[in-house]
Amino acid sequence: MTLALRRVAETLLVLLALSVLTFLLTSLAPGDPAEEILRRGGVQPTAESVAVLRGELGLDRPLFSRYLQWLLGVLRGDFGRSYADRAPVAAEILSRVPATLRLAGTASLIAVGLAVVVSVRAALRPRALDSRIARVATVAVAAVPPYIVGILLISVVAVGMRALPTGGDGSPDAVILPAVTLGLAGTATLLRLLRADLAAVARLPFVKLAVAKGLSARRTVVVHALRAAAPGAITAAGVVLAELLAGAVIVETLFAWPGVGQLAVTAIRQRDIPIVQAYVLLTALATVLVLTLADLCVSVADPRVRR
Amino acid sequence: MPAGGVAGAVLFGAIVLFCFVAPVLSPYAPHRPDLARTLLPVSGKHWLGTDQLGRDLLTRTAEAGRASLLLAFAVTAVTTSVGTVAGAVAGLLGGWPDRLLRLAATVALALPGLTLALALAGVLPPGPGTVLVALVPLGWVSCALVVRATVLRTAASDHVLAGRAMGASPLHLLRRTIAPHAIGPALTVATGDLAKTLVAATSLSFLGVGPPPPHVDWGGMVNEATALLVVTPRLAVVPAVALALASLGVTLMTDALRRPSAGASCP
Repeated sequence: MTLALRRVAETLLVLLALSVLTFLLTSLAPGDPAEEILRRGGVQPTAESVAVLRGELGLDRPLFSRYLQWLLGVLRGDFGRSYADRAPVAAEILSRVPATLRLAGTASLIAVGLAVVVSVRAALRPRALDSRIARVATVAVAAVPPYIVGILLISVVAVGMRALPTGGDGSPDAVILPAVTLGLAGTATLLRLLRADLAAVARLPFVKLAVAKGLSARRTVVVHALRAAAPGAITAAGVVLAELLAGAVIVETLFAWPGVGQLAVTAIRQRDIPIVQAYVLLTALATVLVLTLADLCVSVADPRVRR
Repeated sequence: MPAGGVAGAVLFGAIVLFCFVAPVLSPYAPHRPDLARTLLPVSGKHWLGTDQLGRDLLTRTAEAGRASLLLAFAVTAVTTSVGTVAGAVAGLLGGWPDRLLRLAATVALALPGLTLALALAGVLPPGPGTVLVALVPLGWVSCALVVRATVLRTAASDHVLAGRAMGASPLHLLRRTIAPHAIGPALTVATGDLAKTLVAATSLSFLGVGPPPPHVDWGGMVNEATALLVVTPRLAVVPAVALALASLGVTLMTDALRRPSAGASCP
Protein backbone atom coordinates (compact mmCIF):
# COMPACT_ATOMS: atom_id res chain seq x y z
CA MET A 1 0.00 0.00 0.00
CA THR A 2 2.80 2.41 0.90
CA LEU A 3 4.44 1.45 -2.40
CA ALA A 4 1.29 2.42 -4.29
CA LEU A 5 1.07 5.71 -2.37
CA ARG A 6 4.69 6.49 -3.16
CA ARG A 7 4.06 5.68 -6.78
CA VAL A 8 1.11 8.08 -6.88
CA ALA A 9 3.11 10.82 -5.13
CA GLU A 10 5.98 10.36 -7.58
CA THR A 11 3.63 10.51 -10.55
CA LEU A 12 2.07 13.72 -9.24
CA LEU A 13 5.53 15.24 -8.79
CA VAL A 14 6.49 14.34 -12.36
CA LEU A 15 3.24 15.79 -13.70
CA LEU A 16 3.86 18.99 -11.71
CA ALA A 17 7.41 19.23 -13.11
CA LEU A 18 5.99 18.69 -16.60
CA SER A 19 3.39 21.41 -16.09
CA VAL A 20 6.14 23.91 -15.19
CA LEU A 21 8.17 22.81 -18.22
CA THR A 22 5.15 23.16 -20.49
CA PHE A 23 4.21 26.55 -19.11
CA LEU A 24 7.73 27.86 -19.63
CA LEU A 25 7.40 27.06 -23.36
CA THR A 26 5.44 30.34 -23.69
CA SER A 27 8.25 32.42 -22.31
CA LEU A 28 10.77 30.69 -24.59
CA ALA A 29 8.87 31.79 -27.67
CA PRO A 30 10.23 34.95 -29.25
CA GLY A 31 7.78 37.84 -29.55
CA ASP A 32 4.80 38.91 -27.49
CA PRO A 33 1.68 36.70 -27.54
CA ALA A 34 -0.65 39.73 -27.50
CA GLU A 35 1.03 41.23 -30.58
CA GLU A 36 0.93 37.82 -32.23
CA ILE A 37 -2.84 37.43 -31.65
CA LEU A 38 -3.59 40.91 -32.98
CA ARG A 39 -1.49 40.36 -36.08
CA ARG A 40 -3.24 37.04 -36.76
CA GLY A 41 -6.60 38.76 -36.40
CA GLY A 42 -5.49 41.04 -39.24
CA VAL A 43 -5.01 44.09 -37.01
CA GLN A 44 -1.83 46.17 -37.05
CA PRO A 45 -0.84 46.10 -33.35
CA THR A 46 -0.50 49.51 -31.70
CA ALA A 47 1.05 50.10 -28.29
CA GLU A 48 -2.42 50.83 -26.94
CA SER A 49 -4.24 47.76 -28.30
CA VAL A 50 -1.36 45.52 -27.25
CA ALA A 51 -1.51 46.91 -23.71
CA VAL A 52 -5.27 46.30 -23.53
CA LEU A 53 -4.98 42.72 -24.76
CA ARG A 54 -2.04 42.04 -22.44
CA GLY A 55 -4.25 43.14 -19.56
CA GLU A 56 -7.08 40.89 -20.78
CA LEU A 57 -4.75 37.87 -21.09
CA GLY A 58 -3.14 38.64 -17.73
CA LEU A 59 0.28 38.99 -19.37
CA ASP A 60 1.08 42.09 -17.28
CA ARG A 61 1.18 40.03 -14.11
CA PRO A 62 4.28 38.23 -12.77
CA LEU A 63 5.26 34.83 -14.22
CA PHE A 64 4.42 32.82 -11.12
CA SER A 65 0.87 34.13 -10.74
CA ARG A 66 0.32 33.54 -14.45
CA TYR A 67 1.50 29.94 -13.97
CA LEU A 68 -0.89 29.43 -11.07
CA GLN A 69 -3.79 30.82 -13.06
CA TRP A 70 -2.90 28.63 -16.05
CA LEU A 71 -2.53 25.54 -13.84
CA LEU A 72 -5.90 26.16 -12.15
CA GLY A 73 -7.44 26.48 -15.60
CA VAL A 74 -5.79 23.26 -16.78
CA LEU A 75 -7.08 21.40 -13.72
CA ARG A 76 -10.59 22.50 -14.70
CA GLY A 77 -9.95 21.35 -18.27
CA ASP A 78 -9.42 24.86 -19.63
CA PHE A 79 -6.28 25.09 -21.76
CA GLY A 80 -6.93 28.64 -22.94
CA ARG A 81 -7.75 29.77 -26.46
CA SER A 82 -5.95 29.13 -29.73
CA TYR A 83 -3.95 32.06 -31.12
CA ALA A 84 -5.19 31.32 -34.62
CA ASP A 85 -8.99 31.43 -34.24
CA ARG A 86 -9.49 32.16 -30.52
CA ALA A 87 -11.42 28.87 -30.17
CA PRO A 88 -11.12 26.96 -26.86
CA VAL A 89 -8.14 24.59 -27.11
CA ALA A 90 -9.70 21.83 -25.01
CA ALA A 91 -12.72 21.43 -27.31
CA GLU A 92 -10.52 21.47 -30.40
CA ILE A 93 -8.27 18.71 -29.05
CA LEU A 94 -11.18 16.66 -27.72
CA SER A 95 -12.79 16.62 -31.19
CA ARG A 96 -9.60 15.06 -32.58
CA VAL A 97 -9.17 12.37 -29.89
CA PRO A 98 -11.47 9.69 -31.42
CA ALA A 99 -9.53 9.63 -34.70
CA THR A 100 -6.19 9.23 -32.91
CA LEU A 101 -7.59 6.52 -30.62
CA ARG A 102 -8.95 4.64 -33.64
CA LEU A 103 -5.55 4.82 -35.35
CA ALA A 104 -3.47 3.95 -32.27
CA GLY A 105 -5.94 1.21 -31.24
CA THR A 106 -5.84 -0.49 -34.64
CA ALA A 107 -2.06 -0.09 -34.72
CA SER A 108 -1.58 -1.67 -31.29
CA LEU A 109 -3.84 -4.59 -32.24
CA ILE A 110 -1.60 -5.12 -35.28
CA ALA A 111 1.56 -4.76 -33.17
CA VAL A 112 0.48 -7.15 -30.40
CA GLY A 113 -1.06 -9.69 -32.79
CA LEU A 114 1.95 -9.78 -35.08
CA ALA A 115 4.42 -9.93 -32.18
CA VAL A 116 2.61 -12.84 -30.47
CA VAL A 117 2.16 -14.87 -33.66
CA VAL A 118 5.74 -14.38 -34.87
CA SER A 119 7.34 -15.00 -31.47
CA VAL A 120 5.35 -18.19 -30.87
CA ARG A 121 6.32 -19.41 -34.32
CA ALA A 122 9.97 -18.55 -33.55
CA ALA A 123 9.79 -20.45 -30.24
CA LEU A 124 8.30 -23.51 -31.94
CA ARG A 125 10.62 -23.53 -34.95
CA PRO A 126 13.61 -21.27 -34.39
CA ARG A 127 15.48 -22.63 -37.40
CA ALA A 128 12.62 -22.51 -39.92
CA LEU A 129 13.06 -20.19 -42.89
CA ASP A 130 10.19 -17.89 -41.90
CA SER A 131 11.58 -17.45 -38.38
CA ARG A 132 14.94 -16.41 -39.84
CA ILE A 133 13.31 -14.01 -42.26
CA ALA A 134 11.28 -12.56 -39.38
CA ARG A 135 14.47 -12.03 -37.38
CA VAL A 136 16.09 -10.03 -40.20
CA ALA A 137 12.86 -8.13 -40.85
CA THR A 138 12.61 -7.15 -37.17
CA VAL A 139 16.04 -5.52 -37.26
CA ALA A 140 15.13 -3.68 -40.46
CA VAL A 141 11.77 -2.45 -39.15
CA ALA A 142 13.31 -1.35 -35.84
CA ALA A 143 15.92 0.71 -37.70
CA VAL A 144 13.70 2.39 -40.26
CA PRO A 145 11.57 5.31 -38.98
CA PRO A 146 7.77 5.14 -39.46
CA TYR A 147 7.58 7.96 -41.98
CA ILE A 148 9.98 6.12 -44.27
CA VAL A 149 7.97 2.89 -43.93
CA GLY A 150 4.85 4.97 -44.64
CA ILE A 151 6.34 6.58 -47.76
CA LEU A 152 7.36 3.18 -49.09
CA LEU A 153 3.91 1.69 -48.31
CA ILE A 154 2.15 4.61 -50.01
CA SER A 155 4.29 4.42 -53.13
CA VAL A 156 3.89 0.65 -53.46
CA VAL A 157 0.38 -0.11 -52.18
CA ALA A 158 -1.52 3.15 -52.76
CA VAL A 159 0.23 4.61 -55.83
CA GLY A 160 1.64 1.49 -57.49
CA MET A 161 -1.14 -1.05 -56.88
CA ARG A 162 -3.94 1.50 -56.30
CA ALA A 163 -5.21 -0.92 -53.63
CA LEU A 164 -5.85 1.56 -50.81
CA PRO A 165 -6.29 5.32 -50.43
CA THR A 166 -3.11 7.41 -49.93
CA GLY A 167 -4.53 9.23 -46.94
CA GLY A 168 -7.40 11.04 -45.28
CA ASP A 169 -10.31 9.54 -43.43
CA GLY A 170 -12.76 9.26 -46.33
CA SER A 171 -13.48 5.52 -46.42
CA PRO A 172 -13.43 2.66 -43.88
CA ASP A 173 -10.28 1.13 -45.43
CA ALA A 174 -8.36 4.41 -45.09
CA VAL A 175 -7.21 3.39 -41.61
CA ILE A 176 -5.33 0.33 -42.89
CA LEU A 177 -2.14 1.90 -44.28
CA PRO A 178 -1.53 4.37 -41.43
CA ALA A 179 -2.32 1.69 -38.82
CA VAL A 180 0.06 -0.78 -40.45
CA THR A 181 2.78 1.90 -40.62
CA LEU A 182 2.32 2.78 -36.97
CA GLY A 183 1.82 -0.83 -35.89
CA LEU A 184 5.03 -2.06 -37.51
CA ALA A 185 6.97 0.50 -35.47
CA GLY A 186 5.58 -1.05 -32.27
CA THR A 187 5.91 -4.65 -33.45
CA ALA A 188 9.71 -4.53 -33.55
CA THR A 189 10.10 -3.44 -29.91
CA LEU A 190 7.51 -5.89 -28.64
CA LEU A 191 8.72 -8.79 -30.74
CA ARG A 192 12.35 -8.54 -29.61
CA LEU A 193 11.28 -8.60 -25.99
CA LEU A 194 8.70 -11.36 -26.31
CA ARG A 195 11.15 -13.57 -28.22
CA ALA A 196 13.83 -13.16 -25.57
CA ASP A 197 11.30 -13.78 -22.76
CA LEU A 198 9.92 -16.91 -24.41
CA ALA A 199 13.44 -18.24 -24.88
CA ALA A 200 14.18 -17.57 -21.18
CA VAL A 201 10.93 -19.20 -20.03
CA ALA A 202 11.59 -22.24 -22.23
CA ARG A 203 14.60 -23.06 -20.05
CA LEU A 204 12.51 -23.16 -16.83
CA PRO A 205 11.73 -26.54 -15.19
CA PHE A 206 7.94 -26.30 -15.55
CA VAL A 207 8.27 -26.21 -19.34
CA LYS A 208 10.39 -29.36 -19.21
CA LEU A 209 7.70 -30.94 -17.03
CA ALA A 210 5.00 -30.01 -19.53
CA VAL A 211 7.02 -31.59 -22.32
CA ALA A 212 7.80 -34.65 -20.17
CA LYS A 213 4.13 -35.30 -19.39
CA GLY A 214 3.53 -35.48 -23.12
CA LEU A 215 2.00 -32.11 -24.06
CA SER A 216 2.45 -31.07 -27.65
CA ALA A 217 5.04 -28.39 -28.37
CA ARG A 218 2.33 -26.01 -29.56
CA ARG A 219 0.29 -26.43 -26.38
CA THR A 220 3.38 -26.04 -24.21
CA VAL A 221 4.33 -22.75 -25.84
CA VAL A 222 0.87 -21.25 -26.30
CA VAL A 223 -0.69 -22.26 -22.96
CA HIS A 224 2.26 -22.45 -20.55
CA ALA A 225 5.27 -20.50 -21.79
CA LEU A 226 3.33 -17.58 -23.29
CA ARG A 227 1.45 -17.08 -20.03
CA ALA A 228 4.66 -17.02 -18.03
CA ALA A 229 6.14 -14.48 -20.43
CA ALA A 230 3.03 -12.27 -20.27
CA PRO A 231 4.04 -9.87 -17.42
CA GLY A 232 7.11 -8.61 -19.29
CA ALA A 233 5.10 -8.40 -22.47
CA ILE A 234 2.34 -6.35 -20.79
CA THR A 235 4.87 -3.82 -19.49
CA ALA A 236 6.40 -3.62 -22.95
CA ALA A 237 2.97 -3.29 -24.53
CA GLY A 238 2.32 -0.30 -22.25
CA VAL A 239 5.53 1.37 -23.36
CA VAL A 240 4.73 0.55 -26.98
CA LEU A 241 1.19 1.95 -26.73
CA ALA A 242 2.63 5.16 -25.25
CA GLU A 243 5.13 5.30 -28.10
CA LEU A 244 2.35 4.76 -30.62
CA LEU A 245 0.28 7.60 -29.17
CA ALA A 246 3.32 9.87 -29.49
CA GLY A 247 4.41 8.43 -32.84
CA ALA A 248 0.95 9.10 -34.25
CA VAL A 249 2.15 12.68 -34.89
CA ILE A 250 4.27 11.60 -37.82
CA VAL A 251 1.93 9.01 -39.27
CA GLU A 252 -1.08 11.35 -39.02
CA THR A 253 0.85 14.08 -40.85
CA LEU A 254 1.98 11.72 -43.59
CA PHE A 255 -1.47 10.21 -44.16
CA ALA A 256 -3.48 13.42 -43.54
CA TRP A 257 -5.28 11.58 -40.71
CA PRO A 258 -7.45 14.09 -38.78
CA GLY A 259 -6.16 13.26 -35.29
CA VAL A 260 -4.55 15.09 -32.37
CA GLY A 261 -1.07 14.72 -33.87
CA GLN A 262 -2.03 16.48 -37.07
CA LEU A 263 -3.60 19.31 -35.05
CA ALA A 264 -0.39 19.58 -32.99
CA VAL A 265 1.87 19.71 -36.03
CA THR A 266 -0.27 22.40 -37.66
CA ALA A 267 -0.19 24.35 -34.39
CA ILE A 268 3.58 23.93 -34.08
CA ARG A 269 4.15 25.15 -37.63
CA GLN A 270 1.98 28.21 -36.88
CA ARG A 271 3.51 28.69 -33.41
CA ASP A 272 0.07 28.41 -31.83
CA ILE A 273 1.51 27.95 -28.35
CA PRO A 274 -1.64 27.19 -26.26
CA ILE A 275 -2.35 24.14 -28.48
CA VAL A 276 1.30 23.04 -28.28
CA GLN A 277 1.18 23.31 -24.47
CA ALA A 278 -2.01 21.29 -24.25
CA TYR A 279 -0.59 18.68 -26.63
CA VAL A 280 2.61 18.17 -24.61
CA LEU A 281 0.81 18.02 -21.28
CA LEU A 282 -1.96 15.69 -22.47
CA THR A 283 0.54 13.37 -24.19
CA ALA A 284 2.48 13.14 -20.94
CA LEU A 285 -0.72 12.52 -18.99
CA ALA A 286 -1.84 9.79 -21.40
CA THR A 287 1.60 8.18 -21.23
CA VAL A 288 1.67 8.17 -17.44
CA LEU A 289 -1.86 6.72 -17.35
CA VAL A 290 -1.02 3.98 -19.85
CA LEU A 291 2.19 3.01 -18.02
CA THR A 292 0.41 2.92 -14.65
CA LEU A 293 -2.39 0.84 -16.15
CA ALA A 294 0.17 -1.59 -17.57
CA ASP A 295 1.72 -1.90 -14.10
CA LEU A 296 -1.71 -2.67 -12.63
CA CYS A 297 -2.33 -5.32 -15.30
CA VAL A 298 1.02 -6.91 -14.49
CA SER A 299 0.16 -7.15 -10.80
CA VAL A 300 -3.13 -8.84 -11.75
CA ALA A 301 -1.48 -11.24 -14.21
CA ASP A 302 1.57 -12.04 -12.11
CA PRO A 303 1.02 -12.97 -8.45
CA ARG A 304 4.78 -12.72 -7.77
CA VAL A 305 4.67 -8.91 -8.12
CA ARG A 306 1.94 -8.50 -5.48
CA ARG A 307 3.93 -10.18 -2.75
CA MET B 1 32.72 -9.05 -34.21
CA PRO B 2 29.63 -10.81 -35.65
CA ALA B 3 28.88 -10.68 -39.38
CA GLY B 4 25.90 -8.37 -38.86
CA GLY B 5 28.10 -5.79 -37.18
CA VAL B 6 30.66 -5.88 -40.00
CA ALA B 7 27.89 -5.57 -42.61
CA GLY B 8 26.43 -2.61 -40.68
CA ALA B 9 29.81 -0.88 -40.44
CA VAL B 10 30.47 -1.36 -44.17
CA LEU B 11 26.96 -0.13 -45.06
CA PHE B 12 27.21 2.95 -42.85
CA GLY B 13 30.79 3.66 -44.00
CA ALA B 14 29.70 3.51 -47.63
CA ILE B 15 26.86 5.96 -47.00
CA VAL B 16 29.09 8.37 -45.08
CA LEU B 17 31.62 8.22 -47.92
CA PHE B 18 28.89 8.83 -50.52
CA CYS B 19 27.45 11.79 -48.61
CA PHE B 20 30.77 13.54 -48.11
CA VAL B 21 32.39 12.76 -51.48
CA ALA B 22 29.51 12.90 -53.99
CA PRO B 23 28.72 16.64 -53.54
CA VAL B 24 32.41 17.41 -54.28
CA LEU B 25 32.61 15.21 -57.40
CA SER B 26 29.19 16.06 -58.80
CA PRO B 27 29.03 18.67 -61.58
CA TYR B 28 25.69 19.92 -60.21
CA ALA B 29 24.98 22.38 -57.39
CA PRO B 30 22.68 20.81 -54.76
CA HIS B 31 20.69 24.00 -54.08
CA ARG B 32 20.54 25.93 -57.38
CA PRO B 33 17.20 25.48 -59.21
CA ASP B 34 17.25 24.91 -62.99
CA LEU B 35 13.69 25.38 -64.18
CA ALA B 36 14.54 24.24 -67.72
CA ARG B 37 15.27 20.74 -66.43
CA THR B 38 12.50 19.93 -63.93
CA LEU B 39 11.46 16.34 -63.20
CA LEU B 40 13.82 14.76 -65.74
CA PRO B 41 13.80 10.94 -65.70
CA VAL B 42 16.79 8.77 -64.88
CA SER B 43 19.49 9.24 -67.55
CA GLY B 44 23.26 9.11 -68.16
CA LYS B 45 23.54 12.79 -67.24
CA HIS B 46 21.29 12.68 -64.16
CA TRP B 47 21.74 9.22 -62.68
CA LEU B 48 18.63 9.52 -60.51
CA GLY B 49 16.86 12.25 -62.50
CA THR B 50 16.02 15.75 -61.29
CA ASP B 51 13.44 17.11 -58.84
CA GLN B 52 10.58 19.58 -59.28
CA LEU B 53 13.03 22.51 -59.35
CA GLY B 54 15.48 20.85 -61.74
CA ARG B 55 18.08 19.93 -59.12
CA ASP B 56 20.05 16.71 -59.57
CA LEU B 57 18.49 14.16 -57.20
CA LEU B 58 21.68 12.18 -56.55
CA THR B 59 23.71 15.30 -55.66
CA ARG B 60 20.92 16.62 -53.48
CA THR B 61 20.48 13.31 -51.65
CA ALA B 62 24.21 13.27 -50.84
CA GLU B 63 24.19 16.91 -49.69
CA ALA B 64 21.10 16.27 -47.55
CA GLY B 65 22.78 13.19 -46.09
CA ARG B 66 25.87 15.21 -45.22
CA ALA B 67 23.73 17.70 -43.29
CA SER B 68 21.69 14.95 -41.58
CA LEU B 69 24.79 13.02 -40.53
CA LEU B 70 26.70 16.09 -39.30
CA LEU B 71 23.75 17.19 -37.18
CA ALA B 72 23.26 13.65 -35.82
CA PHE B 73 26.97 13.41 -34.95
CA ALA B 74 26.85 16.80 -33.21
CA VAL B 75 23.75 15.98 -31.15
CA THR B 76 25.11 12.55 -30.20
CA ALA B 77 28.46 14.05 -29.16
CA VAL B 78 26.67 16.47 -26.83
CA THR B 79 24.21 13.93 -25.38
CA THR B 80 26.98 11.36 -24.81
CA SER B 81 29.29 13.88 -23.09
CA VAL B 82 26.53 15.29 -20.91
CA GLY B 83 25.18 11.81 -20.19
CA THR B 84 28.58 10.37 -19.28
CA VAL B 85 29.40 13.21 -16.88
CA ALA B 86 25.91 13.22 -15.33
CA GLY B 87 25.86 9.43 -14.99
CA ALA B 88 29.33 9.32 -13.42
CA VAL B 89 28.47 12.12 -10.96
CA ALA B 90 25.15 10.52 -10.01
CA GLY B 91 26.72 7.09 -9.62
CA LEU B 92 29.69 8.28 -7.57
CA LEU B 93 28.04 10.87 -5.34
CA GLY B 94 24.56 9.41 -4.89
CA GLY B 95 22.32 11.75 -2.89
CA TRP B 96 20.53 14.59 -4.65
CA PRO B 97 22.42 14.36 -7.98
CA ASP B 98 21.24 10.77 -8.17
CA ARG B 99 17.66 11.70 -7.31
CA LEU B 100 17.75 14.45 -9.96
CA LEU B 101 18.88 11.96 -12.58
CA ARG B 102 16.08 9.58 -11.65
CA LEU B 103 13.55 12.41 -11.90
CA ALA B 104 14.90 13.26 -15.37
CA ALA B 105 14.57 9.61 -16.35
CA THR B 106 10.93 9.53 -15.17
CA VAL B 107 10.16 12.72 -17.11
CA ALA B 108 11.85 11.27 -20.20
CA LEU B 109 9.67 8.17 -19.89
CA ALA B 110 6.54 10.34 -19.66
CA LEU B 111 7.42 12.29 -22.82
CA PRO B 112 7.92 9.56 -25.39
CA GLY B 113 9.29 10.03 -28.87
CA LEU B 114 9.38 13.49 -30.28
CA THR B 115 6.85 15.19 -27.99
CA LEU B 116 9.18 17.63 -26.21
CA ALA B 117 11.55 18.00 -29.19
CA LEU B 118 8.61 18.95 -31.41
CA ALA B 119 7.34 21.53 -28.93
CA LEU B 120 10.79 23.08 -28.46
CA ALA B 121 11.56 23.08 -32.18
CA GLY B 122 8.18 24.66 -32.85
CA VAL B 123 8.55 27.42 -30.27
CA LEU B 124 12.19 28.43 -30.82
CA PRO B 125 13.34 30.18 -34.04
CA PRO B 126 14.09 27.49 -36.68
CA GLY B 127 17.69 26.46 -37.37
CA PRO B 128 20.25 23.66 -36.82
CA GLY B 129 20.97 25.05 -33.33
CA THR B 130 17.31 24.69 -32.40
CA VAL B 131 17.33 21.02 -33.43
CA LEU B 132 20.30 20.54 -31.10
CA VAL B 133 18.51 22.34 -28.26
CA ALA B 134 15.34 20.31 -28.96
CA LEU B 135 17.00 16.89 -28.92
CA VAL B 136 19.52 17.28 -26.08
CA PRO B 137 17.17 17.88 -23.07
CA LEU B 138 15.99 14.26 -22.97
CA GLY B 139 18.61 12.69 -25.26
CA TRP B 140 21.31 12.49 -22.60
CA VAL B 141 19.18 10.49 -20.13
CA SER B 142 19.67 6.99 -21.60
CA CYS B 143 23.45 7.38 -21.69
CA ALA B 144 23.49 8.77 -18.14
CA LEU B 145 21.48 5.80 -16.83
CA VAL B 146 23.82 3.26 -18.42
CA VAL B 147 26.97 5.04 -17.18
CA ARG B 148 25.44 5.37 -13.71
CA ALA B 149 24.66 1.64 -13.58
CA THR B 150 28.18 0.75 -14.71
CA VAL B 151 29.79 3.13 -12.24
CA LEU B 152 27.70 1.73 -9.38
CA ARG B 153 28.57 -1.83 -10.35
CA THR B 154 32.27 -1.12 -10.80
CA ALA B 155 32.58 0.97 -7.64
CA ALA B 156 31.43 -2.06 -5.62
CA SER B 157 33.98 -4.40 -7.18
CA ASP B 158 37.13 -5.70 -5.52
CA HIS B 159 39.74 -3.94 -7.61
CA VAL B 160 38.27 -0.55 -6.69
CA LEU B 161 38.27 -1.58 -3.03
CA ALA B 162 41.91 -2.63 -3.40
CA GLY B 163 42.75 0.74 -4.96
CA ARG B 164 41.00 2.51 -2.12
CA ALA B 165 42.83 0.37 0.46
CA MET B 166 46.12 1.44 -1.12
CA GLY B 167 45.10 5.05 -0.52
CA ALA B 168 44.25 6.15 -4.04
CA SER B 169 42.44 9.50 -4.31
CA PRO B 170 38.82 9.48 -5.56
CA LEU B 171 39.89 11.18 -8.80
CA HIS B 172 42.57 8.56 -9.39
CA LEU B 173 40.07 5.79 -8.69
CA LEU B 174 37.64 7.31 -11.18
CA ARG B 175 40.27 7.72 -13.88
CA ARG B 176 42.21 4.50 -13.53
CA THR B 177 39.80 1.94 -12.11
CA ILE B 178 36.24 2.99 -12.96
CA ALA B 179 36.37 4.92 -16.25
CA PRO B 180 37.91 2.06 -18.31
CA HIS B 181 34.86 -0.06 -17.45
CA ALA B 182 32.36 2.67 -18.26
CA ILE B 183 33.75 3.62 -21.68
CA GLY B 184 32.57 0.48 -23.49
CA PRO B 185 28.90 0.76 -22.40
CA ALA B 186 28.94 4.53 -23.02
CA LEU B 187 30.20 4.03 -26.59
CA THR B 188 27.59 1.33 -27.18
CA VAL B 189 24.83 3.71 -26.06
CA ALA B 190 26.38 6.46 -28.20
CA THR B 191 26.14 4.25 -31.28
CA GLY B 192 22.52 3.49 -30.51
CA ASP B 193 21.85 7.18 -29.90
CA LEU B 194 23.37 8.05 -33.29
CA ALA B 195 20.67 6.04 -35.06
CA LYS B 196 17.95 7.47 -32.80
CA THR B 197 19.18 11.04 -33.32
CA LEU B 198 19.46 10.61 -37.08
CA VAL B 199 15.84 9.47 -37.15
CA ALA B 200 14.61 12.14 -34.72
CA ALA B 201 16.37 15.08 -36.42
CA THR B 202 15.14 14.09 -39.88
CA SER B 203 11.66 13.50 -38.45
CA LEU B 204 11.59 17.12 -37.26
CA SER B 205 12.50 18.25 -40.79
CA PHE B 206 9.89 15.94 -42.24
CA LEU B 207 7.29 17.59 -40.00
CA GLY B 208 8.42 21.01 -41.23
CA VAL B 209 10.04 22.31 -38.03
CA GLY B 210 13.65 21.57 -38.98
CA PRO B 211 16.21 24.12 -40.17
CA PRO B 212 14.82 26.37 -42.96
CA PRO B 213 16.15 26.24 -46.58
CA PRO B 214 18.75 26.24 -48.06
CA HIS B 215 19.61 23.71 -45.33
CA VAL B 216 18.32 20.37 -46.55
CA ASP B 217 18.31 16.94 -44.96
CA TRP B 218 16.70 13.61 -45.78
CA GLY B 219 13.56 14.35 -43.79
CA GLY B 220 13.16 17.73 -45.50
CA MET B 221 13.57 16.12 -48.92
CA VAL B 222 10.88 13.55 -48.15
CA ASN B 223 8.63 16.36 -46.89
CA GLU B 224 9.10 18.37 -50.12
CA ALA B 225 8.41 15.28 -52.18
CA THR B 226 5.18 14.12 -50.47
CA ALA B 227 3.11 16.53 -52.58
CA LEU B 228 4.41 14.80 -55.72
CA LEU B 229 4.27 11.28 -54.30
CA VAL B 230 1.59 10.15 -56.72
CA VAL B 231 3.34 11.55 -59.83
CA THR B 232 7.02 10.87 -59.09
CA PRO B 233 7.48 8.65 -56.03
CA ARG B 234 11.22 8.52 -56.89
CA LEU B 235 11.75 11.95 -55.28
CA ALA B 236 10.59 10.67 -51.88
CA VAL B 237 11.81 7.09 -52.17
CA VAL B 238 15.48 7.93 -52.90
CA PRO B 239 16.14 9.99 -49.74
CA ALA B 240 13.89 7.62 -47.77
CA VAL B 241 15.96 4.60 -48.79
CA ALA B 242 19.22 6.48 -48.09
CA LEU B 243 18.05 7.30 -44.55
CA ALA B 244 16.75 3.75 -44.04
CA LEU B 245 20.11 2.25 -45.09
CA ALA B 246 22.13 4.64 -42.89
CA SER B 247 19.92 3.92 -39.88
CA LEU B 248 20.02 0.18 -40.59
CA GLY B 249 23.83 0.26 -40.75
CA VAL B 250 24.14 1.99 -37.37
CA THR B 251 21.51 -0.30 -35.80
CA LEU B 252 23.36 -3.42 -36.97
CA MET B 253 26.57 -2.05 -35.44
CA THR B 254 24.76 -1.31 -32.16
CA ASP B 255 23.27 -4.81 -32.03
CA ALA B 256 26.73 -6.31 -32.52
CA LEU B 257 28.23 -4.10 -29.78
CA ARG B 258 25.42 -5.00 -27.36
CA ARG B 259 26.23 -8.71 -27.46
CA PRO B 260 28.00 -9.75 -24.27
CA SER B 261 30.79 -11.38 -26.32
CA ALA B 262 31.72 -7.98 -27.76
CA GLY B 263 33.18 -7.06 -24.37
CA ALA B 264 30.93 -4.07 -23.77
CA SER B 265 28.07 -5.36 -21.69
CA CYS B 266 25.06 -3.11 -21.77
CA PRO B 267 21.78 -3.43 -19.86
